[in-house]
Amino acid sequence: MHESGAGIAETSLLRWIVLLPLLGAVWNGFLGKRIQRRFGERPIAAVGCLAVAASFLIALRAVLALPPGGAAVDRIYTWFGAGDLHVPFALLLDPLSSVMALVVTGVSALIHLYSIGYMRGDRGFYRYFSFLNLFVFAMLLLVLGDNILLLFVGWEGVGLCSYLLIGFWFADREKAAAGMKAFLVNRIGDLGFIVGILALWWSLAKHGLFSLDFRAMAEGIHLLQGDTILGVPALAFIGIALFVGAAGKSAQIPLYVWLPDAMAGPTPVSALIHAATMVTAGVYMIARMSFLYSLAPQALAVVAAIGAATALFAATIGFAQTDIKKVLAYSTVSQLGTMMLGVGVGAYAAGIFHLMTHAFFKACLFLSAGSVIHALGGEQDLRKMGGLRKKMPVTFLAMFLSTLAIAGIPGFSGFFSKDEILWNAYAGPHGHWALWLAGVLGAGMTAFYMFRLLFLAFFGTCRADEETMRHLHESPRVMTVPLIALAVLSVAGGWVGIPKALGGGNHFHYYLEPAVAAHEAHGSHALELVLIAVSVLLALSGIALAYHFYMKKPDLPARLTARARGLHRLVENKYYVDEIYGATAVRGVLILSRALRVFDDYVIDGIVNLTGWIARIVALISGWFDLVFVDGLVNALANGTIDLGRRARRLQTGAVQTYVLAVFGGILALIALYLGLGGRA
Amino acid sequence: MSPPLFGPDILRALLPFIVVAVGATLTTLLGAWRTRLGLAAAVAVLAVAVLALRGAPESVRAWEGALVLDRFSLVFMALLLGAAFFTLFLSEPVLRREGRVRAEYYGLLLFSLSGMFLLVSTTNLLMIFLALELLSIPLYVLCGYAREDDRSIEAAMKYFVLGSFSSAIFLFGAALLFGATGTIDLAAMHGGDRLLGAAGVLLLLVGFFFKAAAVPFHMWAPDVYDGAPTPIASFMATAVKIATFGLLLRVLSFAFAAEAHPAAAFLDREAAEPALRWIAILTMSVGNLSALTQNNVKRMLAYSSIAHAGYLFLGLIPGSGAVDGAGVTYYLVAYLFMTSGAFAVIAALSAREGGREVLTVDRFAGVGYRRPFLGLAMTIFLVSLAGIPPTAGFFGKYLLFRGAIDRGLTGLVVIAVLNSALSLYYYLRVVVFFYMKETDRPAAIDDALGFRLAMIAALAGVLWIGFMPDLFGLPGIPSLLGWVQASVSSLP
Repeated sequence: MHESGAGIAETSLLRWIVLLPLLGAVWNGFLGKRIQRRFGERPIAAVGCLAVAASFLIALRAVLALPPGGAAVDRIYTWFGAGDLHVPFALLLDPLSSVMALVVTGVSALIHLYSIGYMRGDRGFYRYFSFLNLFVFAMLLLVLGDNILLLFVGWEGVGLCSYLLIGFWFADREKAAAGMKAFLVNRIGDLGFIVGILALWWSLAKHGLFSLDFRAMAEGIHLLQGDTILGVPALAFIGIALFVGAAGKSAQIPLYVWLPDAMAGPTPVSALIHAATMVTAGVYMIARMSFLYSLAPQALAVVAAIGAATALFAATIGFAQTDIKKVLAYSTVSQLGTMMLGVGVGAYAAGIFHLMTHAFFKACLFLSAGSVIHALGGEQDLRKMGGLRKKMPVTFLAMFLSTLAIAGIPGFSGFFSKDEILWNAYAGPHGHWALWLAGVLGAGMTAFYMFRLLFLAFFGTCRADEETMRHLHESPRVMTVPLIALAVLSVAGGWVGIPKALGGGNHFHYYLEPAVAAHEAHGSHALELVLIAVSVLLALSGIALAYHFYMKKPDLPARLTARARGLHRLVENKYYVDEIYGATAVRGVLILSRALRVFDDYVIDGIVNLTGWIARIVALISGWFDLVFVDGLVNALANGTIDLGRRARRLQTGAVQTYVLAVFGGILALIALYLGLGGRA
Repeated sequence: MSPPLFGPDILRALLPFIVVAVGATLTTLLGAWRTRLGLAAAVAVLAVAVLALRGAPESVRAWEGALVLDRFSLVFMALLLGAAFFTLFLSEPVLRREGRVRAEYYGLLLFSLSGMFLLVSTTNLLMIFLALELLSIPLYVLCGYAREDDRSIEAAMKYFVLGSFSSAIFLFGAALLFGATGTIDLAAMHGGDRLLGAAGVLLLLVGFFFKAAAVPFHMWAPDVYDGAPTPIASFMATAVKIATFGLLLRVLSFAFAAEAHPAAAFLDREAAEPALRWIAILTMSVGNLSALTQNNVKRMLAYSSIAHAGYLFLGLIPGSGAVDGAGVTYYLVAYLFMTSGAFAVIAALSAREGGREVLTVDRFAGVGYRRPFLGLAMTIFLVSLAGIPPTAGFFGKYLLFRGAIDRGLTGLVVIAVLNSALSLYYYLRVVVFFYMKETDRPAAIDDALGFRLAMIAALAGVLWIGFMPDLFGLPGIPSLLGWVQASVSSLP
C-alpha cells in the first residue's frame, strides 16, 4: 500500500455500509417472527433487501468520491490501546476494498432479491433473511477492516454465518458426520490463520512497530527481512501460516473437502457464500497482504503450486458428478484454485479481477441452478433433467451466458480475467510454464464439464417423471430479474480489464495498482496472443467434446465409464479423500480425546491396585501402632462415618481413591521437578 | 515498629467482612421465620457490602498480616461480589423450580463469600487456612443441596473428602513453612531452612492447586460441577477460581520476590518454574482434550474451566520477568462474565427427569430459533470463551499471552494457542446444536427473570470489554486495564 500521490481522506460514511446490514439482521432476527405472523413475508423481505441495497448505494457513493488512487478511512474509535499498541476500530476504503465492497454488496443485493422468490412460503423466512444480512455485515467487516484484527473478526463471523445458513435445512439433508468434518477442516485453517497473525504481530513488535493496520504494516514489513521463526525465514513462515487459513476458507487442497458438503444449504446461500463472496476471502486476504507476500517468494511459490494443483484436481472431480450443485461446487473449488494461482504468481490484481468476474458468473450459475431445482420441485440430479431449454427460456439464457463466461470464451468476462492469470502464470515474475500448463488444462476441463451440465440439463429430452413435468414452469419475475442482471455482468463484467495485447487498456489492473504490490508480466504481445489462442482452443475443444459426448452420442459416456470402471469410480467418489480424512485426521483427534478417558478408567485403576497391595503391607507393619494409639479415636469416628458411607456407596467404585492417588502422584512429580529431575518444559 | 492493634482505619477495613459474615448469620436465622425472603436478605447484604467496600481504606495491614486490605484485595473482593450477584440471579429461579427455596441456602452462600473475602486479603498462613475452610464447608453443603439427586450427594461427598484431604496437605505445608521460617506471615518470612521451606511452599501450593482445579489435582472438578446444582457449579467455576487465583498471585509474588522485596525467596525460582510450566501445559491440554468428547454441557463447561485455569497459569510463571498480576486479573474479569453467562444459559435449559438433571447437548437442538436472544447470548459467550475478537475472552487471552511472550515463554504460548484453537471446536459444537439440529422433543426453556438478568449483565460485560477493552474515555469509570494494573501495584 503505497500512498502514491493522493493521501488518506477521513470520512464517516463507511460505517453505514457495514452497519445497515447489521441493523437489518437485528431487526428481522428479533422482531421478524412476530412481523411475519402478522403482516406476512413482505415487510421482512423489504427490510432485508433494502438494508443491503442501501449499503450498496452508499458504498458506490463512497467509491466514486475517492480521489483517483487514494483511500478513505473511517476511524470509529480506539478499540484497544494497551501499552504501546493502539488498535483503532477503523474501516478502510482503498481501490482493493472498493472492488470487494461493491462486489459483495451488489451481488448480495441481487441474491437477496432472488431469495424472496426462492424462499417463499418457508416457515423460517425471517430467520433466513436475518442470517443473510448478518453474513453481509460480517463479510463487509472482513473486506473493509483497516487492520488484520478486524479482518479476523469478519473472518470468524462469516464462518459462523456460513454454518448457520448451511444448517438452515441441515436436518433433512446431511448426516451429522459431514457437518463435523466441515467444522474440523475449518478449525485447521483458522489455526493457521491465528498462528500467522500472532507471528506477524510479534515479529513486528520486536522491531518496535506496534501497529496492526495494513498501511503501517506495509511500511514496516521490510524490517522482517532476515528474521527467522523456528529456522524458517519469518516472512515465509507468516505467509504460509496465513495461507493455511486462506486454504481453509477458500477451499484449497487439502482443506477443500468441506465446500461440497456445504451445498446442503439453500441454493441462494450457496450462490452468495459458497461461490461469490465468503470463499473468496482467502484470495482477498492474500491480495491485502501482498506487501508481505511480495517479500516472501517461498510463500508465494506454495500458494501458486497449491492453487494450480487445486484448479486441476477439482476440475477432474467435476467430470463425474451427477448432482447439479456438486458440479458447481467442484467448479468453484477449481476456480478458487485459479485465483490462488493468480495471487500466487504475484499477479494480485489479476487474482482479484478473476474473483470479481467469478462472483458474477458463478452467482449466476448457482441462481440458475436454483431456478431449475425450484422448478423441478427440489430435484438436483442431472440424470433426471433435460430439455428444460424450452420450458425455462430466461433461466436457460442466463445459464448459457454464464457457462460461456466460465468456459473462457472470448468476449465474456471469464475470458479476460482467466487469461490475465494464465499470462502472469507463464510470464510473470514468479511464473513457471508448469503452473501455466496446470491452469490451462484446468480451464479446458472446466469448459467440458460445464457444457456437460448445460447439455444434460437443458437439451435433449426431459427425463423427469410426469408429475414433475406438469408442474414445470419458469421462475417468477423476482427470481429472473436478478438472473438477467447477473447474466449481463457475466458477459460485460470483464470489459473493464481488456489486456493491452487485445487493444484494451487493462484499466482494472491500473485501478488496483495503488492498493496491491506492483507486479508486471514480461513478454511480448505476440507471445501473449499465442497463449490466449491455446487456451481458447482448449476451451473450444472441451465444448466440442462435451457436445460429442452428450448431444451427438449420448450413449458414449456410459460405454466409456463401463470400460474404465475403476477410474470412473475413483473420480466419482472424489478420490475417496473424504473417507481418508475421516479415517485419519478426524479420528486421530477423537482417539486422543478418548484415550484420556481410557487412561482415567484403566491405567489409573491399575496403579490403584498396585498401590493397594503396597499399602496392605505397610498397613500390617503399622498395625501394632494403630492398635496401641489410635484405635480408640478411630472407633469413635467410625460410628459417625457409617451413616455417611451408606450414602456414598458410589464412592466405593474406586474413583475417589483414584483422585487421591493422582494428587499424590502430582505432589511427587512436583517435588521431582523442583529437585530438577525433569527437563525444562 | 508495630502498627496499632486497633483503630478507625482497621474498623473500616473490617467492615466488608463484618457485613458479609453478620449478614450471612442473619440470613440463616431468617430461615426460622421468613424463609422465602432469603434472596431479598442476601441482595441487601451484598448491597451493603458494596457500600462497605467503597468506604474501605486502601492500605491497611494489621495483626501479622492476618488482615491486609490493599487495592489488590479490593479489586478481588469487587470481582467476588460480582460473581456472588450472578449466583444469586441464577439461584432463585432454580430453587423455585425445584421447590427448595430456603434462606439457609443464601446464608451458606454468604458464609462462603466471606471466606473468599478473607482469602484474598491476608498474608497470614493461619488466616488463609481459616478462610479456606470458611469458603469450603458451606460449599460442601451447597453441593449436596439437591438432596433427591444421588449425583448431588455424590458431588458433596467427593468434594468433602478430597477437600479435607487437600486442606490437610495445605496444613502440613504451612507447618513445615512455619518450622523453616519461624513466622506465619508470608510477608515477614526471611530465608530460614531452605529445604524445609521449599517443601512447605510446595505442599502449600498443592492445596491451592487443588482448589484451582489444576491438573493433576483437578479430578474432583468435573464430578462435582456436574452433580452440584447449576448455580453452585457456576459459583465454584467463577468465585472459587477468582479467590484461589487471587491467593495464588499473592503467594507466588511473595515467593518469587527475591531481590525486589525483603521477604526472601523461599521458593527457588529456577527450580519451581519447570513444575509450574508442566502444570500449565497439562491443565490446559487435559482440560481441552477432555472437553472434546463431552456430551453433557455442564461437564463440558467444567473441563473448559479447567482449561481456562491452565491459561491463567501462564500468568503465574515469572519467566524472565515477574508474575503477571495484571494479565491474570484482567483475564479473571473476562472469565467471570463469559462463564457466568454460559452457566445462566445452562441453568435456563436444565431440567430434571426422574430426579436427575439432564443436560446433554442434544437438548439444545433448535433452541437458538425458539429463543433468539438466548441463542445469540450463548453464541457470544462461547465465542468469547474460545477467545475470538471482539469479545472479552480475546482481550483476556491477548494480554496473558503477550505478557508471557514478553517474559520469554514462547513455547508455552504456542501450546496455549493450539489449545484455544482446539477449544473452538467443542464450544461451537453447542452452537451447532442451537441452530442446526432439529428435535422431536424440544427442551423446556425456563424464562425466569433471574436468568435473563444474568444473561443481559454477562452479555453487556463480554461485549463491553470486547468493544472497549480498556473502557476508554468514559467519564467516572476508570479504565479497566488501569484499574487492574493499579491493583497489582500493591503486590511485592
